Amino acid sequence: MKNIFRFLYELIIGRPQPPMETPLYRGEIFPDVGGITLLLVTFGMVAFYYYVLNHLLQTAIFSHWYHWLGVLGINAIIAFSYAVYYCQVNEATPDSYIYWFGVANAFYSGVFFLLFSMAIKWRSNNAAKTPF
Amino acid sequence: MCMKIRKCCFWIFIWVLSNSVISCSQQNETEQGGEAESCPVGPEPSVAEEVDTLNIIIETSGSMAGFMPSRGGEQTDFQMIVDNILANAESLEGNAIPNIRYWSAREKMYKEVYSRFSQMLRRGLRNPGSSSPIPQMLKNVSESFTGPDQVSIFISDFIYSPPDSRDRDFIANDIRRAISRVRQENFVVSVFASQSDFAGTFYPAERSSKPIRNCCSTAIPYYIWVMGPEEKVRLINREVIKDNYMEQVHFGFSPLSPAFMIIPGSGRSGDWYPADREGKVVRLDNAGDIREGGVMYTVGINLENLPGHVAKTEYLEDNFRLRVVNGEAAISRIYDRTQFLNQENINNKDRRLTECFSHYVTVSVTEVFDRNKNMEVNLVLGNELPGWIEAYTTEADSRIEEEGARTFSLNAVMEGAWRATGSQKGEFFNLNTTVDLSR
Repeated sequence: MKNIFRFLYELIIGRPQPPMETPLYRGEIFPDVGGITLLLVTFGMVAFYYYVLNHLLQTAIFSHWYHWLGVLGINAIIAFSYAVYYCQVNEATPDSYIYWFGVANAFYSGVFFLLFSMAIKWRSNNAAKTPF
Repeated sequence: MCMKIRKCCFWIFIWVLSNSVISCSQQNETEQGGEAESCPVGPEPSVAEEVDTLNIIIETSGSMAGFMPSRGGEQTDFQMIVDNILANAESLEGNAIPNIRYWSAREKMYKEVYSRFSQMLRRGLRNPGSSSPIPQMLKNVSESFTGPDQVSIFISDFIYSPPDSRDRDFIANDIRRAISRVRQENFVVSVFASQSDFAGTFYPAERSSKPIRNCCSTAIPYYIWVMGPEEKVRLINREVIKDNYMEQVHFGFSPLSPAFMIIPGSGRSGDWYPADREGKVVRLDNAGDIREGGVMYTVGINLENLPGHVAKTEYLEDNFRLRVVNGEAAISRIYDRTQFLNQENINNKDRRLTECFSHYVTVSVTEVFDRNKNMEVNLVLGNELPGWIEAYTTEADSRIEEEGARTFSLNAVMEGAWRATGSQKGEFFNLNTTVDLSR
């Protein structure tokens, strides 16, 4: 799993910078941030959208694609913020790489949000066909 | 049916998701790399707790009278420093050193009582004896004043000229023969050099020269040799001699293992990163980086336990070399801590590490032969005679006033001691670093 996250992030933003931080990013930051934001938080947000807003609430007012996109955007902001925060908490050397990592994490949170949506939307009462 | 398959897929998906998160957290716990928690520590050289017998031997021939003049007024530096050594030894008498014996070395060794020995040192050497050659005195010390429980401090001007001037080329071998009589495995010699004002007759080693009376306006060197088992000599060097001499050399000591570590973020170039917590391995994702821009890394080394002359940057520059397997590398620069902090852009994370090391060596890796194998880069510090010995050597001590504080053929005397203790093959240490190209 660690190597999958490493592959995903370095595919977009390249090797960690400065190079001395490579073990920190590959060993701690990539798997932690990826695991928490891309898997846990994103899945939670998807589940919240489909099974709280569009299932438990019994209303259809959040079932449009732009509501779905709004939740995806909030999830992306969380992913970006958490990535930057986690780098700072782990005392990664200040570098623009931290913010590019945040951007990459936000991007992948959108991708994972879409994949999770495809996986679980069918059980939702009101948004089984959102976004398409 | 379709509904059941979907339900089943859903719960499998949840199970995979949760397992992925758990495995992530478990992998983090075993992850290598990153910075070390504290300063790396090398094994400390062993120091004895007790020396059963300490022999303090001062040459008291005529050539030494100028160091201990019987004039009134000021004491010479020699008198002050040797008296200080006696005081240091006395402070340990009965504890770390149960027995201290005092000897004057003339044509033979004469045992002295403390009061007479001290008076001779403080009030002057009124009745100097005839001398015997330095090799003979060293032979006496080697034969009678060494043993597993003894350390001897021998203080002399070490002016030696063979009886026949044609034998000058054999001085090193004469000294070597004298010291080689010691049959003791861990026998070592530490030599500390100092200079003192001198008021008396100077006897040049050159046999054709006459003694120089009312000598000298220049300082004259003298030497303190500490001989005995390694751990006990370390104790005496530390507690009695106090190691505070600029010029010193040590023969026969076993190799050391100083603490060292590759500094992750400073004094570096290239895309390498530390691959282990100990800081012994640099890893490259792409071996082509070496050819493209070169890879440079800096190794911090703590040389505080090494003899004084070894820890000088000049000595390190002359004697550090690399032994490289599967590639080519060179030493770019050697710094002491102050130079490193002043000249390098120190990464903030490295600031704590810079407190751990006294010296820094920057290694530049320029070529790798086989990209499928790791490179081994060993930093080796050779054990060579220090430069001060040449600066203290003259071949014409009949003009001592012009020559300054030098000793006749001192380099040959030291070379003899060096060979006698087998130091010529030695290395102070060999530090192994690896360039990991496995990825």
